[in-house]
Order: sequence, then structure tokens, then C-alpha cells
Amino acid sequence: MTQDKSNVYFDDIPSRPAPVTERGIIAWMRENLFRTAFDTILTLGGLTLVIITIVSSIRWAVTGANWYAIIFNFRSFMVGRYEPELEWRVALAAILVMFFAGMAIRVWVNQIARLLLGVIAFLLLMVLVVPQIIYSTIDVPPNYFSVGNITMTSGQDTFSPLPRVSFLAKSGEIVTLQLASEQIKSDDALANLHGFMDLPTRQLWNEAVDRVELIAERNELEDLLARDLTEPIPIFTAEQREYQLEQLERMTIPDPIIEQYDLNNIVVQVNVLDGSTLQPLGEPVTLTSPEDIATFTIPADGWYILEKVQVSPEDTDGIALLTVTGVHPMLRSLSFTNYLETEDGQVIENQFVDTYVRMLDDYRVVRAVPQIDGEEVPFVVITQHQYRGTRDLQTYLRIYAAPFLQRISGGLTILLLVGVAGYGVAYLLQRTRGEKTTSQYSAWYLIALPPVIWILVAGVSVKGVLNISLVLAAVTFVVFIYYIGMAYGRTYQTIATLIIGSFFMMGVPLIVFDGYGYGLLALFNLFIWLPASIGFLAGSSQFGVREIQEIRPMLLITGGIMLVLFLAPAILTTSGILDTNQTYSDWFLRTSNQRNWSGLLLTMMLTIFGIIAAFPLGIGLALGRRSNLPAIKYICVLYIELIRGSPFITVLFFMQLLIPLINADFADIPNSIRALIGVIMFSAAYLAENVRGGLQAIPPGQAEAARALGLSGWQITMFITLPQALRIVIPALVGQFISLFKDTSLVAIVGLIDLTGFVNTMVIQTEFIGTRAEGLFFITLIYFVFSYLMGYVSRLLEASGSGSTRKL
Amino acid sequence: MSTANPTAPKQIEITLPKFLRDLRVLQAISQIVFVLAVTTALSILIVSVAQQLQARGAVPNYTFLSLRSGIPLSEAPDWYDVNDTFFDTFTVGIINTLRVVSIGLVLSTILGVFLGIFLLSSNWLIRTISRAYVEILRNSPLLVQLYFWYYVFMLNLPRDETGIPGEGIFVIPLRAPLYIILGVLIWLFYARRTISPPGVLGGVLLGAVGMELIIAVFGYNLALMLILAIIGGAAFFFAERITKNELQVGRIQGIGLLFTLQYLAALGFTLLERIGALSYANATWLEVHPAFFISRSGFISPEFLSTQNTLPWLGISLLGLIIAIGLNNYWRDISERTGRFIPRTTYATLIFLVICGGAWLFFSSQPAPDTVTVGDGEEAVTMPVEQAREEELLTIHQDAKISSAPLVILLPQSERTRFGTRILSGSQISPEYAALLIGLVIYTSAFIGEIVRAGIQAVPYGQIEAARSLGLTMPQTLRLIILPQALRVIIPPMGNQYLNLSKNSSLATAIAFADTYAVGLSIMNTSGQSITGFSIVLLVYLTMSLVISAVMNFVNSRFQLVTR
Repeated sequence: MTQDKSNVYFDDIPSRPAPVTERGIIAWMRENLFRTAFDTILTLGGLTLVIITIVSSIRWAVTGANWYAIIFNFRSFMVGRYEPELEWRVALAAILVMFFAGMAIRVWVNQIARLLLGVIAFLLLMVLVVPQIIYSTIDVPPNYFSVGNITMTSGQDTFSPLPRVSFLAKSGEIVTLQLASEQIKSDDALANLHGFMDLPTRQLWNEAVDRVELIAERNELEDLLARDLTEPIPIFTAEQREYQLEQLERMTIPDPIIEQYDLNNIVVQVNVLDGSTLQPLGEPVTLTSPEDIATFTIPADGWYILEKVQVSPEDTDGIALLTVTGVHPMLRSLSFTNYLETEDGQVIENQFVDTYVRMLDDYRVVRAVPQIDGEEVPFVVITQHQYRGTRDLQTYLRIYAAPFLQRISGGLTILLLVGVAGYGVAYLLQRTRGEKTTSQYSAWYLIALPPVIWILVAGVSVKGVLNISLVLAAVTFVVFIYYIGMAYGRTYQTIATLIIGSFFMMGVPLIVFDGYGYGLLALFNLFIWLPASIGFLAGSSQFGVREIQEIRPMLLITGGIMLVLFLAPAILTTSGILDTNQTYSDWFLRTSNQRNWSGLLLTMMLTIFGIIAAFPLGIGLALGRRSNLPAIKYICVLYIELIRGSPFITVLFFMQLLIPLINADFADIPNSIRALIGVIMFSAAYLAENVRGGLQAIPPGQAEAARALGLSGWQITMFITLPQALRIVIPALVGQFISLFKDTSLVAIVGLIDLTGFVNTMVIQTEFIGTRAEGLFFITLIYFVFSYLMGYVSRLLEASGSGSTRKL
Repeated sequence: MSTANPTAPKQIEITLPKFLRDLRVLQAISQIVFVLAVTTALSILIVSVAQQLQARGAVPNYTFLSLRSGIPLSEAPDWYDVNDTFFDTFTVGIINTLRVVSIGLVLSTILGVFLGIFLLSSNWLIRTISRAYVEILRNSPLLVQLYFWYYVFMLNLPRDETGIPGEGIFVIPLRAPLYIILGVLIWLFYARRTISPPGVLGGVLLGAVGMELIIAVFGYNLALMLILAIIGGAAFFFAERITKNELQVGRIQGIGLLFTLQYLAALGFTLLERIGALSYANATWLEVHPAFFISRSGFISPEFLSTQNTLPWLGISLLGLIIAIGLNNYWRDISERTGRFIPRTTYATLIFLVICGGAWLFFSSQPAPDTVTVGDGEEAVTMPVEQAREEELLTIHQDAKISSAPLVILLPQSERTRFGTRILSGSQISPEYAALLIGLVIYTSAFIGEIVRAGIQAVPYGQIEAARSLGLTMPQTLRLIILPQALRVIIPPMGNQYLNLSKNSSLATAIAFADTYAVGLSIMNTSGQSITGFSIVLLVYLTMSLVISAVMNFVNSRFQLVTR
């Protein structure tokens, strides 16, 4: 029996695309943006909000803001008034930090390496390639200069077009001059003028804009008053209507500006002179009609003078507008120079000189403004030759973005490459020495880094070197006593060594040399008995573990180093080889004036050393608070709660107020150091609470087990609970670091010029009055990038489980 | 291991006198040493500071508080005068701090809770915006934000406020509060109905947007509003005939409700004016007249004036509140005993509203006072109202107060003078106060938002699923299941944020707002009493911190899980 299957359809049903509303972008939008009516309204509202915010901020950034304030003050934002001749040390410190940051990333948070590489490549592209593209593709916005014999008044100022202005130009650039014709066709055209313009031109533009606006306002009011009568609900009350009518009467429209000034109806002669020789570059060119173009090619870099005069009719008050290319606004600034040879053979070394900066491309010249008949020819200064009128994206890119990127390109490139190099070195180390060794190395480098940074940035005096030598002697003493304990155990002799040694480390430096600076370092030696005792306990608990022959060389080495470090200052000073009172200004790492610390440098120093110095204090307070001895406990509680209950600003203020009152000599302590002490006191209390949290999180079984093994109280704390607690609180510590980084901005209130404080300084510079928004935007960006990066790394650390005591 | 080395010298055991090996004695000694060290350090500090101060001729004392301060304060209550004492100056500073902190706490909590919910929204855009908001605000310093709000935001607002809308003035029409009231009412009435509450809420929101669009296009027109109200009312009652979909019915009813109530509110405003509660008001004019001004010289909002009937009315309202709460508790007991469902919250709210409204109607139906006291001090004269009005002796405030209504809302009014505008009525908020409050609230809300998000996420999702399977609605789940559990996690860190806000309010000094710290600073400079002045400032902040943490501890203990 055969089955007839001809009526059965065996082919697959033709596949159709999934409905558009169920797959892809539309489905995603349905799911995530427009699920319900409420959702839709939220989405639309949110979208409006985002668009308004983004559009208005971009519009402000592109058309409103004056970013020269940032470009010009970039150095001040970074290091402020730090001594320029010592600046290389700050750069070195930054390079070191980047190098070890690169290493640390390879060692501990390798998972973001690829992302970071992408970011670095993007940044390098931005600072190295983008400015060049912009420079080569976008033209500079036009300049407008005025010519004529007219005298204009604006408020109490009177001014007239300058017959000569000096400017900076580079070899090969072309200066062209032409009568502006398009711009003077009507008042509307004049009001639409945009570009850099000198004072008379700006006055013309202002008047034109005012007139156009007045006409618009009048029309609007007339319209409103007409509607007021026709509409059912009156717009104005009777009183208001009367007032508005009065206003309308007051609005008298002046004659068109073009006619008032009779623009461009004069004959103008222009020429360009060399700044040093005062020889003209060519024959003077007479401009009578818009078709006439004067062109001058600049032969060499340097100063030039633009000469522009009205030739006929001779005695009338005429005025003409010129469109000029190749002349750009400039600024005069004081800058520090290490070595400079002027044209007349003078050598300037290590002093501040007037520098002239062309804002457009940061072209800097130290030579003075050219003079004619003993008088300086006024140069095209940005305060009087400002950008006016609408600004578009291209102008923004050309005059602000590209110069800014170029300004930061050098430093950023080096830092990024150093970071990559650090990453590479760590990678090589891991390949050759193994991961564990590399991780140990990195940890030690990171621990050694802060003192190195401090020495680099702050510098050391002769006195300081001696102090450091004594402190290092004290540190070696701790190691020495550790080995002593390890070799000989707890005997009368070793305990006597501990006590006598500590006494020497404490007392002798104070008594013998009177040179401890502010005694801050001496403070360390005063408390040497504490680490020494801990070291002794730690060492003696390992008594007999290792052969005495193994330990002896270590004993000899540490003892020798200790003696040398301890005795060298004594010998050097008492024999008169080094005079502690001399300043040694050519000293390799001479001290920088800490009053000059400002900008990002100050913010960073306060944050880093605020946390690091607060660490021992914080741990001590946390242990004290958990102590079962009531007196110690409550004193610690009192300190912690007192600080935590009062605002940071009061702590800072208290330090500023109190320190000079403690001792008259302390009045010399610079503000920045007073603030640093305040920061340390403040963050110690918060650190203590964090560490206490960690200590409380350790299961009591740990301490009980340690006790069962026969460890003493100190040993349990030092070797069992504290290390685990510190591991747990790593994320919290990073969080505190971030919040301290932000909180250091409060030093601006007590008069320090940190990143925030500098914005307040910047807005009182005459060139940059009213640029607070730009400054705040820039520093917010810096704060945000640093805090967000640190927070991100902390979250990665948390996720990777580095903080947990036991990896599950 | 330690026995592995026989050549090592024998460790000598330290034999101290017996009492020195007693742990208690050792502890006592170490404590005494520590206390001695601390007190010695402190006393050296105090002595040297005292000497230095003595040398400068400024012996610390607290008697200076009763001297004349001579410090003018821009932000001070009416009673404060330059000739008042330092104590009064301090008081003003403390009042200003409390003004900022108390309002800041409330506002940042509200904003933070919304933010926390937005951070968990299923709407991708809202979630992303909230995330960006939180990250930007948390990662930039508060001081920079305050500078932004004061110098960049407040000081760039339009210079003058005027009475004409649309002249660069920010206008919030009085229908805006109506939308909020309506939202709350719907929440109350529809939360337990079978009809879909999200539908009604969505409908109301759609209606509000539509209403704003209609007003934007056609202008505010009472006739048009009446037509819309009639259409809305019809839609409300016939919604169930139009469609069977519950959600759609809810939406249509929501839109209808809003359109109807919009008109009723306009009538209500007229009514309020008739009974004398709103002076200088008529319903349409209310829509045109700006109720809130924002300008460079701060915010101006409607003013609430008390009249002779205010206190009795407040008393009766309080009584109403007590009765409502009592009844609520009584019904709850009944419900718990019998298992019978009573919509007690709705009833209690209604009872409270009825008592308040009834008392209001009673008082406002009384005749208004016909005499008024003009002038102050000894020159005060009592005369009939008519006469005073004719002779123009009354200020706007005095005139508005001549009313039998318990509360009078006085809308802001300004007068143009030759020197700019002058504010005649309306309560004014200075730009410094506004900037500080905005800055603090927005900064703190970012942290609170994160706390709320974490708290809600800490509630296991099974709880929500269980609640849903029991048939609880989403609001009920939120109120009865999620929030009580989330609050346990939220409250402790929230307390920290409150403390931070109270301490951060001291940054007011950066934007020249006269708070405790700023006032303390100028007192220290004027009087030369730096240490004592500082101690008072510190005491104020410590007390405030202490009070806040005590309250938060109490709240925390109320919400914690009771375990055995």
C-alpha cells in the first residue's frame, strides 16, 4: 500500500524575522524605557532634563566660557607658587608615583590593565595628534582693528584707535589687512560681528548690539501693550500698565550706528614694521575700497609693529574697521627663567622676567616690547583685545581646546609613558623573580615612596639631614634590638641594652645637639622606646629559633649602621665640618619654602601625608579605645568623639589659632604645616573608628586561639588581630582617603591656596575677572578624576577579595 | 623548636617584686602613667597658651558675652540690632545654623529616598541619570559645590524680580501644589481598591502633562477649563463603559479626575478668597501671578500670616489630630481582634480633614475685626478699619491680617522704585541661605540615596516575592515588607549623614552666611577672645552632634530587630 503524500507539505515553514517589537533595540526600549505610562513620563522628563543640562553646558563651554584663564594659569593650578627652580623635584616625585602606580596595577589590580591601556592610548591621541589636526584644519578667527582720528567715550573712559600696535609673529606667517565691508552694511551686521576686536571696535559693536536689542524690546513691549487691551484677561494691572507706558516713552531709538560714525568713509594707510630695527617690511599700502588687500610676510620670529593711520580727509573724526589676520592677542606674565641670553648680550639667570605670551599657541618671548621715540608701543593685550560676539565650535577648538591640549601634552605624555614603563618593569620582574617576590618588592617600594616624595618636594636642610640620620639610627636600633632579642632572649643584659639604648636614642640627640628643627622629628625619637620594646618582644619570642651564628652578622651590620648614623652627625657638627646654622642655598635638595606650596601639589601633600602620619596615631587610638583599662579607653574615646563631633573647619582653624599660642617660636610654622597637623589630628580620629570596626570584625576565636598558644597580649594584637583588621578595613581606608582628598579643599577657607583656594585667587586677576565658573569646572574635573579612580580601584580590590581575611 | 639549640645561654627569668607582677597593679600603674602623661601635656599646653594670651592682654573670660558686639549681621531675625550683646550675636548664629540644619535634614532625606528608589528603577535612563548624579556629587568637594551654587548659580540669576510673568522670572503656578495634593489623595484612596492604582496615578500624571500643554498652547482660560472639567467628569464616570482593561479604566479615570479637580481647585481658590483666606487673590489671577520668585537677591515665596483666630484653629486641629489617631488605633484594635477590614487610615484622614475644614469654616464665617491698632509703642492708636484704610495707614501685612480666617496667605508683591524693585510682601530667603541649603541638600542626598539603595537591596528578594504571592499590592509591599526591613539597615548610616550635614553647615562661612562658625569668627576678631569664643563654637557643634546622634540612637533602637 502506498501512501499518497502529495498533499502533505514537507518543506519547512519559511523563517520570518522576529517581530521588531520583540527583539533588538525597540524591544530593549520597550522593556527599559517605556514599560508603563508612568515610566514613559519619567523617561521623557529625564530625557528633557539630560538634554537641557548637556546642551546648556556645552553651549556655555563653547560660546560663553573664557578658557584662557585655565590655560594661562595651568602651572598655578598644578604647583602654584612653588619655587620654579625646584620644580623638577615635584616632576620627579610625580614620575616616581606614576612608575610605582604602574607597578602596583600590574601586581594587584591587573584586571583593568586593558581598559587603562585604552584610556592611555586615547589620552595620548588627544594631546599629541588632535591639536595638530586642529591647527592645520581650522582657521584662526578674524581680528578687527579700528583706524581713524575719532575719540570715543564709554562711561568715564575715552579712547581712540591706536596708530601703532605691536604684536608677536613667527617667521613665514602672513599678515593681511582689509577694510571690513560686509560688517558695516547694516547695524544688524555690525551686531553680528564676532572675533577679537580692539576697544573702539568693541564700542561700535556694543552700541550696535544695544540698538538692535532696544528695538526688539520696544517692539515686544508695544506688542504686549496692544495684546493687553484685546485679551479677555488683562496682562497688566492699571498701575503696571501706566508704568510700562512710561517705560515705552523712555525707549528712544538712536540713529543707526553706521550712520552715526560714518564708518569706512576714510582712506587708510597701513604698514608693518620690524620690532627691533623699526624698518618697514614694505611700502605702505593705501586702502580705499574693500577690494584693496595689504599683505605682509613675516621674515623672522619676534616683535612687529602694525602701523595704521587715516590719511585723508586729514582732520576729520573718521573711523574705519579693518579685518586683520596674522595678528593675535597676547598677555604679559612674570615667569621664572634659569638661563637666558638677551639680544644685547645680557645673561639673565634665575630671576623673574616679563614674558609675552601669544595666547593662541603659547608662543613665548622674553624680549621687551619695541619702543619708538623712547615710548613703548602698546601691544595687542588680551584684556583690551577680547573675543566678542558669538563663538562657534570651530573657534572654540582653535583658540581654547587645542592650546590647552598642547599645554598639557608634554607632562601628560611623560607621566603616562612612565606609568606604562612601571607596568612593564613589574611584568618583567614577575617573569624573572616570580609573582610573590614582585608583590613584596612593590609593597616595599610603596612604603618607601612617601618619605622620598616628602624629601623631594620639601627638600632637606643640613640640619634636616642630621635629623634624618638620627631618626634612621633610631629605626636601625629597633631592628638591632629585635636581633638582640632573637639571639639572647630575655635576659637582664638584653633588657638593660633596650633601656639604655632607648634612653640614648631619646635623650642624647635632644641634649647634645640643639638642632631639631621644630622638634617634630625629635618626637619620633622620644617615643622610640615603644617600637623598640615591641621589637624586643617580637625578637625574644623567637629566641632560639635560629642559630646564634646566623644572627651574629646581622647584629654586626645593624649595630654598625646604627653607630655610624648615630655618631656621624655628632662628629660632623662638633668638629665644625658642617655648620647647622648655614642655609646652604646651593644644597642639592635645598628646602623649599612651605609657605609657597599651593595648587594641586598642596592638596596632594595634605592628603597623602595627612593619611600616612595619621595612621600610627589612628591605630593607637583604636587600640586604646578597645583597651579594657578605663583611663586609657575614656581618654581615647574623648579625643575621638571630640574630633568627630566638631566640623573639620574648626579643627583647621584651631590649628591656625592655637599653634602660635603654644610657643612664640611656633608662629614661624607655615600655614601649610599647621593645616597638615590639623589634617592629621582630624583623620586620626576617623581612622581610629575605621580600624576599630576592623578589630571588632575579627572573630573572638582568633584571639582565644592565640592566647591558647601562649601568646601575650601585645603579641596577639600585633601578630593576630591587627594585621587581619587592617586587611579588612582597606576599602574603608581608601574611602577615607577619598573623603580627605575632597575635604582638604577646606584649607581654602583658612587662607591657603590649594586647588580650590587658587580659583578664588584667579578670579581677582584683572585679566580673568568673572571666570570662577571655568575655574570651578576645571578643579571639579581634577577632584572627580582622582576620587573616582581611587574609588574604582577600591571597588576592584574589594571584589578581588584582597580585603577579606579568608578567601572562600 | 626552642630546645633545638643547646649552646644558647639559658634565658634568665625576670623576677620582679611580687606586687609588680600582679596584673591589676600593672594595669593601675600604666593607667596612672598614661593619665599623668596626658594631663601633663595638656597642662603645659594650657599654661603656655594662657601665658601667651596674657602677654597679648587678652585674658580668657566669658564676661565679654555681655558686652556690646557691634557686629552687623545680614541674616538676622527682626529683634537683632548692632547694639546687642555678643551673646545675642551668638544666638543669631546658632539660630541660622539650626535653620539650615533642620530644613536641610528634612529635604535631603526626602530627596535621598527618592534618589535611592530611582537608583533601583527599572527604567534605564532614570537609573543612569541617578547614578551619574550620585557619582559626580560624591566625588567632588562640598566646598566647590557651594561655590558653584552661590557664585555661579545664585549670583547669575536675573537681577530683579518683577510682577510680570515671562520676564526671565521663574514662575510656579498654584496648580503645581494641586498636582501633589492630588497624587497624595489618590495614593490614600486608591491604594486598596481593586481598580489599578498605577493606572490612575499614570492617568493623573498624563492629565497633568496634558493640562500643562493645553495651558501652554491656549493660555489659562476659565471657559476652556469648564469644558475640560465637564469632559473629564464624564470620562471619569463612563470609563468602565469604554473599555474593560483595568489599567485603561484607571488611566481614563485619572485623567478625568485631574481635569475635574483642576477646575474645582480654581473655584476653590475663589472660595478661599471669598472667605478671606487669600488676600489679593482671584482664581485666574492666581494662575498669572507668580507665587515664587527666584532672583539674584534670593527666593521669595508666599507668606503665611497669623490672625486672631490662628491659635484657636490650631488648637482644634490638634484636637482633630488626636481624635483621628485615637480612632485609627481603636479601629486597628478591632481589625486585629476580629479580622474585619476597616480602611482606617482613609477614615482617620477624612475625620481629621473634616474637623480642620469645619473649624476653618466656622472661624471664617465670624465677622472680621472692625478696629485696628495703628502705629507702634506709645503712639499706637486704635481706630476703625475703614478709616485706617482710607487714610492709608495700614501696611500690606496689617491690611491682610484684618480677616477672620485662621491663616492668611499673602502672595509676594513687589513695587518698582527708582532704585530697582522693592519687595512689599512674601517671605524672603537670602541667596546665601538658598545656596547653602541647595548645596548641602544636594550633596547629602547623594550619600543618602546610596544608603537607601543599599538598604532596599539588603532585603532578600524572596520577601518581595512572598508578599506578592500573598496578594499584597506594590505600595503595601513597600510599606509593610520592604521598608521596615530596609530601615534597620538604613538608619545607622543615615545618622552619620545627618551628623555630616550638621557639621558641613559650617562651610557657610565660605559664602558669607552668618552661621555659628562665621559669627563666632567675627566675634573672636572683634572681642579678641579667641579661645573662649572658639570653645563656644565647638560646644554648639558638639551639642548638635550629640543631640542628633542621641535621637538617631533612639530611633535605631526602636527599629532594631528584637531578639532574645
